[in-house]
This record gives sequence, structure tokens and C-alpha cells, in this order.
Amino acid sequence: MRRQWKSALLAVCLLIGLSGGAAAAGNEPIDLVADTIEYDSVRGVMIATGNVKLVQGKSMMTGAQAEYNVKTQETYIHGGVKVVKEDATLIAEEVRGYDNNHLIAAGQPILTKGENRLAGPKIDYYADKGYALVEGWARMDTADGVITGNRLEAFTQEERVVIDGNVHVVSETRKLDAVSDHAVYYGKKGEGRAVLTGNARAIQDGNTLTGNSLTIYMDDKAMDAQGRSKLVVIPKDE
Amino acid sequence: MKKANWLIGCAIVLLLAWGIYYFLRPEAPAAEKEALPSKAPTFLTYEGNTISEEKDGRKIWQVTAETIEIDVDSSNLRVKNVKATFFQENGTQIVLTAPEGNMDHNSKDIALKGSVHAVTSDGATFTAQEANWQAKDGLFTATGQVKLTREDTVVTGDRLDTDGKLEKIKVQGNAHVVKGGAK
Repeated sequence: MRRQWKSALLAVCLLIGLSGGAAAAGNEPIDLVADTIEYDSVRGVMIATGNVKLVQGKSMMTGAQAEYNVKTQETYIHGGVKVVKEDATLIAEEVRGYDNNHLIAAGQPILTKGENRLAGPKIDYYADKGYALVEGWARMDTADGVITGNRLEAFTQEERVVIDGNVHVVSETRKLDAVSDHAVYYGKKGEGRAVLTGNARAIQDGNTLTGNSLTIYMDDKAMDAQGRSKLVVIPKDE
Repeated sequence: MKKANWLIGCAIVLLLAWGIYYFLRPEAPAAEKEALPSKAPTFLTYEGNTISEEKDGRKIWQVTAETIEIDVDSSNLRVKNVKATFFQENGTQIVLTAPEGNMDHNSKDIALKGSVHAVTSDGATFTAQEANWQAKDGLFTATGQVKLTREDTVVTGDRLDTDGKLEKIKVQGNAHVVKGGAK
């Protein structure tokens, strides 16, 4: 599970450069193809319509219409948008890039990397801070399980994900079902764990553990409870 | 007798003069030899000419061509190996060259054909198979393998519409812009 969670974090990390915010991507040529392109060289604004494909470095955006300001490097692309960078793919109804740094994907955005998927009503990403925010509702799927909550923040440089509100973790492989008000996932090597706080309850293999704080360790099936806790063990049939 | 000889002499002189004229007269143009259609255009041709248009004391455009043919009926022009310069109000110029072109006398529209090449005074260039200048709107339309280069931006497509300064452009059909790729 740790490996899967880490992959999901990497998928968030790979948004870097899609907004044109990464220095390397910012210096790469912009290659824009469409049925029609209007370009005002005074304002520095390009408007592309019909089968739009915008390529910069290893990033490729496709959509129905795109607006790109060559002076500010702000981008707005909408209509069945698909952004591909290496093995990460973002689909959304619209994607905006601001200040060479800030990317907003809205309209059922789904960020996918391999078997890992991050979804919500809107995904905000700040390249300089390596910070992603999903508000309203958030769902992160991995090969190992699913985490949902009302709000998700990913701190990619720290390999940390914070989920708030109605947190629900389901892992078929770990036979785990856990809920809490708040959860923090730590993905650094040797520190792989998820800390659930606030009305935390986890059911694993039929055993129920409740407490103010539960820690699920990623490298094994171990769980810790902190504060007032209660464990209900269901005996196995011999 | 003397009078008869004088008449014969005059007749011989006239006959010789007519014969000389017959053999030395300039060849009649083919157009005169054959019956022309009633509405066939007639062209006056000038070589190495420059024509221009001014408005409010300011030169709008100037066309220099190897040959200029004027349709005497419509006053439209046909030009060969043409160099057309368009002068903008802000002082910038665009110079187009082409193997041939036409100019409508009434609209002052200019159509250039066959490997059109254009350069602006601030360094932008474009090439196309055909280019049209719409005098009324001051707009260029280029068609056929259009390529526009301005600084580090290269624009290609099937059709390009632009203002006289090549600042605002619209590319249609296989539109492609590369920003940062031009040398």
C-alpha cells in the first residue's frame, strides 16, 4: 500500500510543468496546432480553435479551444481537455494556468498515473510550493485501496497528504475499512504511515479499533491507537 | 506624248512607292489580323514603371514592376515581377514581391501570385503562393503554404488573414504556431 500511495503522490508531483511553471518547461518552445489560430503579437495572445494541441517540452495539452498569452504564459484550454506529461494524465473540462506557476483543473478533473487516480470537483496545483489542493470532495484511488474525504491537500516535496472531513479509507488487499474526521499520510521512506484522528475507527479482518487517533503502518498490517481507544477482536473459526 | 510619258512616270513612281511601303510596312498585330471578340480586352504595356497611390498627402502604396499592362477598357493593371510597398501610418512598411499580379482599378485591391514573399520594416516575413491586399480594409490575405515568421514565432497554415503590419493574424487550415522555435 505504501508503494501505491507514493505513486499517487508522484502523480500529483507530475503536474509540475503542465502549468508552464517549471523553469525547464518555461524555456521550452511552445508548439500549438489547431484548425484555426488567431495571434495578436501586440497583446501576445494566441487563440486556437478546433482540435487544439499545445505541446511544451514533455507536456501535451489537447482540447477544443485554447488561449495562450506568450507574455504572461497564462493558459486557458477547455472542451474535453487532456493533459499528458510523461506517464501522468489529467483530464478535465477546463484547465487554466496562471503566473507561470498555478494550475487549476476544473470540470470533473481526474489525474491518473498508472493505476493511481486523483479526482475532485477542482484540482489546484502550485508548482513553486509543490502544493495541490482538492476541495468539495476528493477521491484518491490506488491499486491498494481508496481514500475519500471532503478536502485533500498534497505537499509533494514533503511527500505528505492531508485529508479533512468524512475521511474514509478502504483497502481490499489489507481487508481494511477505516473512517475518521482527519487523516495525514506520510510517504517518506521508512516513515510510511497514515494517521487518522477525530472519531477514528478501523475495521481490519473483522477486528475493530476505535480511538481519538489511529496510525496505520504501510509496510505491514500493523495499527496503533493513541489516547482513549477500544479494540474489539472477532475470534477466527478454526 | 510628253504628257503621256509624265503620267506613266507618275504611275511607276506611285507603284514603286506602294511596293516599298508594302514590303517595309510594320507587321500588323495578330489581334488586327483576326476578327476579335467584341469584348476582348485591349492592354497598353509599359516597362519598368512605378505607380503609387497617395491619400491626404501620405503615400499608401507603391508598385514597381518589370512590366505593367493596362486594360484600356477596365483600367485594371497586370504586372510582372512586381515589388509592392505598403506604407503604414506609424511609419512601418511592408514590401511584397511576386512574379505577377493584378490590380483592380476601382477597388484598388492588389492580387499577387506565384511565390509571394513579404518583409516588414520591423523584421517580420511571410511567404505564400498568393496574397491579396484589400485596400478598403487595409488587410492582407495570403493562401497556399503560408509561413509567417516574427521574432521567435513561426506561423504556418493554409490561409492567413492579417493587418498591414502583420501584428494581428488569423491562420486557418492546418494552423500551426511554434513560439520559441525560430532562430
